[in-house]
Amino acid sequence: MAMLEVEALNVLFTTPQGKVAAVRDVSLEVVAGECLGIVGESGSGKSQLFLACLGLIAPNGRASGSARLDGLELLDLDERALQRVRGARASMIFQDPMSALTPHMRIGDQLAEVLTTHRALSRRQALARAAEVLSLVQIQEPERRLRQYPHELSGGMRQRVMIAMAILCEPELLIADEPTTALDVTVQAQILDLLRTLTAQLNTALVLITHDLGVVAGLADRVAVMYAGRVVEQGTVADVLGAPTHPYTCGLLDSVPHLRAALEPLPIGIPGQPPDATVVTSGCAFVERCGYGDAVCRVERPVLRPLAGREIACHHPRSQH
Amino acid sequence: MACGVVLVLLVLLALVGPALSPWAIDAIDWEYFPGPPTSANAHWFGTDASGRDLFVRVLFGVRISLLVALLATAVSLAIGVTWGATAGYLGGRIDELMMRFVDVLYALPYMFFVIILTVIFGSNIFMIFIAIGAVGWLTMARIVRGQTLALRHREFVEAAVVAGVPTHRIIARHVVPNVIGPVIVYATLTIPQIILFESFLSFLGLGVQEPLTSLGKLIAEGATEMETSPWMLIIPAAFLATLLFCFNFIGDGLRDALDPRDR
Amino acid sequence: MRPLLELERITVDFELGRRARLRALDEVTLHVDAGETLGVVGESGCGKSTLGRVVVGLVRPTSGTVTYAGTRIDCLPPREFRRWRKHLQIVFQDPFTSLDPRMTIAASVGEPLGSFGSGENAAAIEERTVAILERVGLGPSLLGRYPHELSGGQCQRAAIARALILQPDLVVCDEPVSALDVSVQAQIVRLLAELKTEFDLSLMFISHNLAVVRLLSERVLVLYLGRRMELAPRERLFTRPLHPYTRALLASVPVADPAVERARERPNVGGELPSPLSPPSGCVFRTRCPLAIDRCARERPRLEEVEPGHWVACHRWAEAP
Repeated sequence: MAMLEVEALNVLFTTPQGKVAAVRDVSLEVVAGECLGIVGESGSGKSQLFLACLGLIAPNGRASGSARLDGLELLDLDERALQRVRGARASMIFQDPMSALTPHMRIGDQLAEVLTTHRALSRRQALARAAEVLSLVQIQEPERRLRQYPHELSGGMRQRVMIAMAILCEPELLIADEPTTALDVTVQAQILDLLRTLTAQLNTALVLITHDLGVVAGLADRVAVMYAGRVVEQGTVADVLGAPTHPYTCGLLDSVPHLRAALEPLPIGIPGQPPDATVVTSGCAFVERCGYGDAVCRVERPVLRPLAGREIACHHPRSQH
Repeated sequence: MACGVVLVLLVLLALVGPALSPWAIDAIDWEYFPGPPTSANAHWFGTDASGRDLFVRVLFGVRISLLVALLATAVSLAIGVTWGATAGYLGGRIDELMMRFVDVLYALPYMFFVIILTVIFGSNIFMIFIAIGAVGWLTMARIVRGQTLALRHREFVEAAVVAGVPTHRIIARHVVPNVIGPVIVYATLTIPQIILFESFLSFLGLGVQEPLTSLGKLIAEGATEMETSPWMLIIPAAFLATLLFCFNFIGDGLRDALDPRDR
Repeated sequence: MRPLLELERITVDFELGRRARLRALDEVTLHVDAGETLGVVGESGCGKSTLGRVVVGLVRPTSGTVTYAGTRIDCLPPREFRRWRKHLQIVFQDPFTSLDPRMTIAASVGEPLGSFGSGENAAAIEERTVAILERVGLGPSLLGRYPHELSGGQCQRAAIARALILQPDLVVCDEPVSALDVSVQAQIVRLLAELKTEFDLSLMFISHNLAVVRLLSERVLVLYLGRRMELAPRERLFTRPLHPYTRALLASVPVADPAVERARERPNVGGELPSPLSPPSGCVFRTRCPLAIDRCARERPRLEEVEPGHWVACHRWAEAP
């Protein structure tokens, strides 16, 4: 049974420049204990999609459709009900731990706050549990760390603290939005390992939002590729990244240089730039940059259909290599 | 932007209004003084204790007050922005020296300074605004210096350095246009302060001299006649309040308008 | 033939307040030949950005010399140094902040010409601006635009155009693609490769992204906490790295192929970067190195040429697998 079921989710922002549809008609699901990777570039809507699920989008945005956490419809909840869900049943970790952690509060206090809010523990009990969780995320000398301030910790350490804060109440769903992008690559490997171990231990459903295909390849079980607010291809990581069929996925994979790839020719990239979210197209949003688009693509928007073990929204899927 | 419209209307009224009235600024109506506003003999705002038409005097007062405020602000902008941007950009010893100079001037009693200047050069209206501007640039310089310090290490400034752009051009083309936002806001907020300050000077007898008048002078005169001729106080005070109100709102609007991202 | 750029024992110290001193670069010696691309890699705190800034004169070295085409330029007074600037240019990481938000693209790109007072009039400057912008792929319709109206990739192209308009001999590229979307990164890398050949440029390509560095560089230098760890021709570094840090870096880079990524051995470099304010004695990498021995704490390893063109600073380099 899916822990998170998203169905026909739309997120629309009203701005002085007009209406911006950040997320368009997205449906997907995440099962407990599995990791779903969400891949996309600027304007893909990957972050907004999950911010909407947790009721965290900006005030000028509106989400419609359905997002159910273990059957509970999140989009129907008011702010108070959402606050009970956030931190306890569903948590989010962000790219920059420095801005997610309050600079003037000690680590211990911030962690304890989560516990006293959601679990009605006394402060002493909360701190004890916090220390436990800090060692779970492989921080040495947890009691000492509890008394420190965020700026006294390194980047990797702060990210671990953020993960600790997110799993304190053993949530059913954990959303990680670019959790390692700001970290050094040697630290990134450690953090990804940690996420893998923890979610297996706690049987949490993990959503990993990233632009880095390598990170997805290492950690995710399934992946959804997003472009211009829609899912264009989704399936198992082995299928989608190993044998992509959507021209965008193919283009993305071709753009990423490998350490062992031949040096000539250089990766091509995808011509043009990421889409302008204020523009609404009738056909496929990718057609301008796609090498295989034709008249049909301009007029008729492709829908997600099953193909070769995955789902893809394209009129001219590439054959697998 | 409604305030902008109101302000423009006020300015137009001030410029054109007196021409519509048969009374000159110092003409005395021996038959009707002091008198409340009436449309009988074109004394739409009434007359003051000496029989002079208030409509004309108030509008003249608006002109003078605005003139003094705008010119004084222009002077303090010119000096303050240059001083602050240069000190902030060059940094080091030069910055220290320049800002120490500002600190010393700050310590001097402002009033004393202005009084000395007006005594030496006379209560000429131009001297007044120069005197005010010459003291007002200090805070402007500090603000600009602060903004410049933040801007100095932005990459586009570094790029200009690497491209060989000479220092004076970097300050003029890159630093100043990018600090203009807060500066404009501050400037529009100081205009009301200057108008009030000028009123204070007038109250002391150091401000604008007869036959010219300013809002401050009118209010000071009106205050003494408040019980018998309330219109003498209320009308100029209303104009002053409206002006202040408008300027306080316009600052925000200007800053937004100058932000290239909103074009 | 004499190298184009020579850095000799460059040390850069930053004073932080009265007691703390941060050594960003420690006795770094390197050279770049005419027409060559030197890649500089490392993680945060390794000093690579500072190195780039020393080359273009934005940072004054605390000690050491910078020699360009046989002339020492680090000790020149600002006036004189300005004359050399046209030979050494830089492209920064963030395309939006490296362009003045209040100037049009044309004005930003053409500004260096105006300030060098080469006696050109406005029309000639405009002509050259249009020409270089076309060469980087920006059409004349974009001349009057402001940075916020363009995409990241377009802004970066403009930044590259600005760096090239003076016809420099060497361009420092400080993480030029890291802030761009993946599909756009490949475009910019291609562009740099073309321009490099066409204008016969030397490049100092600074990045934490090893795969990208590999595409453009002939030789690669690995830095850690301000010190040189390894310097080798590209292929040698990537196929047979001798320094444990280089090996750890290469092992940590995620690969977008799930089959490869999941089968890899996890890199065994634990811990995090030590504080640059109090670096470890001897070899700075020893606190995280799997091969560390007593000697590493006592004796700082020197960078030595252990194979032709391949330099390593490690006591135990010979034990590389």
